[in-house]
Amino acid sequence: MEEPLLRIEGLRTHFFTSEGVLKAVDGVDLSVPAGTTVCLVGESGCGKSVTARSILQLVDKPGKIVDGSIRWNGKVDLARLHPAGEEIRRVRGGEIGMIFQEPMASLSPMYTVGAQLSQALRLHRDLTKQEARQESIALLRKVGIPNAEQRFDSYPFQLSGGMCQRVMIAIALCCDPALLIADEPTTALDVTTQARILDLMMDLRAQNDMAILFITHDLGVVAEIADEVAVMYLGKVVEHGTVDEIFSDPRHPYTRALLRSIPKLRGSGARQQLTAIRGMVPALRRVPDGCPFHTRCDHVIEGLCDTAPPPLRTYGGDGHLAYCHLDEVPAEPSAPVVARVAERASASEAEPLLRIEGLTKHYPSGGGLFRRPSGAVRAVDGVDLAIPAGRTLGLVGESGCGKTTLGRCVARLIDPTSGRILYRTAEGDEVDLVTVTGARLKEFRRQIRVIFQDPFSSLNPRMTLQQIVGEPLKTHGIAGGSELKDRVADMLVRVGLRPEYMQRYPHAFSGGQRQRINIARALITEPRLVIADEPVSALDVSVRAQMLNLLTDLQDELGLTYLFISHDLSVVEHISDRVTVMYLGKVAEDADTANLYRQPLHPYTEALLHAVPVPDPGLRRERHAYEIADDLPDPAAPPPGCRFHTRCTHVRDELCRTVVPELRAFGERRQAACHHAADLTLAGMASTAHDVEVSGLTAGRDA
Amino acid sequence: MNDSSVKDETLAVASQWKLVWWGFKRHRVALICGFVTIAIYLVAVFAPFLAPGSGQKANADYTYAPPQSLHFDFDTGLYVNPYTFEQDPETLALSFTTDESKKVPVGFFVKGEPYELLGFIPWDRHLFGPEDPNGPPMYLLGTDSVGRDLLSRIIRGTTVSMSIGLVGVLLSLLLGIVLGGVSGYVGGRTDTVIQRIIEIIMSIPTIPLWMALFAAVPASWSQLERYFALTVVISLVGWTGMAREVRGKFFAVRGEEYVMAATADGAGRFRIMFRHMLPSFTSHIIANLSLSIPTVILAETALSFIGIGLQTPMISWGVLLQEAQNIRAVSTAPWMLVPGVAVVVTVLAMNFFGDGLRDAADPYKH
Repeated sequence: MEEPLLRIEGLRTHFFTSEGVLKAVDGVDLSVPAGTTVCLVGESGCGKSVTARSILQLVDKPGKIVDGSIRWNGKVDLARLHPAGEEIRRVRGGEIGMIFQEPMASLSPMYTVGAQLSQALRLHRDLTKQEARQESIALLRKVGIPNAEQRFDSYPFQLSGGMCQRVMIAIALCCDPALLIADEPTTALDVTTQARILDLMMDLRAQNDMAILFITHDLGVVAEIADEVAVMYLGKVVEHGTVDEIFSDPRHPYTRALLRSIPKLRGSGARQQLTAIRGMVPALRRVPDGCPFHTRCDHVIEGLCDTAPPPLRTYGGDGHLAYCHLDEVPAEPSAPVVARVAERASASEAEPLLRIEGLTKHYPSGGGLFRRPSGAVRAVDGVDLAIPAGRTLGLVGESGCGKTTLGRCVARLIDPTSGRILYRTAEGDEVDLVTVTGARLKEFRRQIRVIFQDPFSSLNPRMTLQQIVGEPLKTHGIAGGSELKDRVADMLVRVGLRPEYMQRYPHAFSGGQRQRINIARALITEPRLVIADEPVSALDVSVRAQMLNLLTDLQDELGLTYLFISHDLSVVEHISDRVTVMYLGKVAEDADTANLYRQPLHPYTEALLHAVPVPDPGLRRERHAYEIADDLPDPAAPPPGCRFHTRCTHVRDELCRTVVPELRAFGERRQAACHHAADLTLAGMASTAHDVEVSGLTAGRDA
Repeated sequence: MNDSSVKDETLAVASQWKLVWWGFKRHRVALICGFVTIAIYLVAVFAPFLAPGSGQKANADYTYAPPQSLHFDFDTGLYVNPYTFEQDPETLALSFTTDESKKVPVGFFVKGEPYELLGFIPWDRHLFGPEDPNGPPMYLLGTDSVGRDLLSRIIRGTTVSMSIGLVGVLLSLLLGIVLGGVSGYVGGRTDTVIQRIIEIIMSIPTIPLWMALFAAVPASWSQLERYFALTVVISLVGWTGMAREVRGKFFAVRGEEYVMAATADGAGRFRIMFRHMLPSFTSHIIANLSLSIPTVILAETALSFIGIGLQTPMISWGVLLQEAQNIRAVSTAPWMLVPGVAVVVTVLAMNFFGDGLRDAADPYKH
């Protein structure tokens, strides 16, 4: 067999901390053949990033490569090189490029992107300043940045996240590396931007004939780009195979569990429970004996899996292998469809719990101590919507479209500029929340609660769980003393946390657990309306499934009404009865979930739908047709006419560019703001993902 | 396994202060300096007992007596050799030698000049001193121009110098937290106005400003009043740094989602500011305090040194150094500079301590 570009054998990277040795990478074998894309998949804390960093000797102290070899080009053993030596520095950037998760944080805010790019060029190549500039502009153009000459002199904060990631890619590519290591490059980005970045990487791979080592926790992304896949769990590769093998014939129970937990677009509109993986990744300090996955596996064999390390099994001819005691893993039953779905869909429109009329929120921009504001950012610009009691309204759009602002206006965390927010109280009166102040507002704060997005910054690190979850009980004078304690304990059990955790501080919990705390805090006042602001965006895909199931269960149990905000249509489909799509502060489309997914009426909805990665390698190239340009226009100066026309693939005539489309009704309970909604035939989910089985077992590669 | 889970449990329920303490313990130099700082404050509190004398008693026979050294033998225990001196008939200058043949026994818990411990417990015992209060004196660090014991004066001066540091800083802390807090929490125009005021205060050179403010204090005021006037003057100029620090912290914390969550929980403004926001940077404020105490001590020293701060008979390190102003005194009696050593040791110890505290202050930063 031909020597691969990169061959890792028995790599062990351990961290020597005061709590003991953490075996972050514990015997990884992996090879990347020239010109292929290898994906490294697993949940957070499985050692994917450390593996990638070990290749370039970028492991921070107290981490150290203790064993194994990293053979580069069949010659140099990178594991043996000194981390600050001449040789490894030539490889870094010169032969292996790397991009990271947070594009904004990876670029220095003090220099223009052009300066950073030409700096990288001149480090590795003998170029004059002028040549470096020319070369940089060419590179920026290559990674799809419009107006490259002007962008050369922009600072990172002037660019969007997607643009910054493109710049990062340009820097990584500047010396034509043979291998590009991408560490979760799209996790922090919107779905639409993610799709475009993935396409860019695939195109560049083909043009430059380079290999890519792509690290992600999202199997949907894997299906989009991978040639080979390595699934990692607790510092070890548990399964390895080609992308088709992994998706059509997964062998390891962990791979199967990961595959089943991805929320998929189904186009049916039915709410369905997701199959989540039980529990969470154990801490590295306490790696289970035997097979590391046995604590979460559905097919444990007592006395075997928990004692002996699993043997290596090979399937087929070329390199499909897995470490499992079971040779043939029995199929799992698929998740039950939520029982009330039929009733939900057929029930006639319930009384709306919340009606929003003409809501606007403008932020003044410019201005200073002695100057008047020069303009306004129209974050929310005349939005009408209604949420039926006991249902879930999904609010979808890219970042910057005003959905979070809208949610915060409803929760009265910020004051809207104008408009009405009519809330139906338990007695049946309608109250305009905008006009409510003081003690009455406090009462509504009890009934309308928010689940925040960021599981880390939304919990005060200085307070214990009891203080955090019990705070609303205290401020509203609902309970105190031992009653407060009982209530908090009860709530913690409901969201799946042990009540003994009450005295712990948030630093003791993982992201998923923190989000459960967040949910507990929101629900403890027995609210009627819950605004969930991207509650799962910051979580691993596997944990997302747990969280969505929990939210669904609690809704049924407590009769809650949700306003569910997300940028990801695949997540929204699993929980929403109705979906409203927002673009640049305005509603683009509003429909029942099933209708929206089957047959979108607005081109923006179509684009959002098709940006979601489909966890089926066979369908990967179809998406290209519906792609839209990267950047949201400046919300301070929205384009005239239809706001979406600058990115719309269906833009037709002067009408789109000059006249603002009104939100018009199309059939029953359905509205869209597009001039051509009636005569466009847009592709819904049914037309592409038609009848694709959930686990992807039947997927063929006929595209 | 069991052991590590117990460890996990303690870590999980560890409050912020525990985490800070764990972090601080790892910082060796800071830990030692912390103990030194505590020791200096203990000296300040128990100064009258620790000092062999009051430091006020002048003895014309012993002007500029050089330091004596402490000896030990098994017959008398601790002792010093008494001075013999000659007076130059022309210049009248005294020159001292120690008489090796005689011994002045030194004991612990000896009777001496009466004092009031902590200001209200009358007592006359001193930790150590010559056993016979009416016999030859003991000057371990020498004497000043009128024959007062320098060691006693330095120890007594600790009280004033250290307390001025503490009181002055607490006053500027109060101003800093209130004005900085309002500036940071309210923001907008209020913030702009407060910040401009701070900038104006900061742009005036400090020593002339102190001099001008202190010149306004009537000369008829008593020593105690002058002492308070001095702390007020120092903190009126010194609060700006603290205010900026607090404002910056409020700004940083205001953007955290948990502050918005507190609003959604129905907490009032006051509760959000003091229950939710302030705890997240109290440790920073404390670290900052321990860093600004030395500046206040130095300010007092500087003011007293140039003669506009405290004056004798009040004793502070600055007052003591004032005597070391003229070069002739220093050349004939270099021990007059010893109070300077006290200042240097204190300032260094508190700075290292504060630095260590600041590093440990944010256990959540990775």
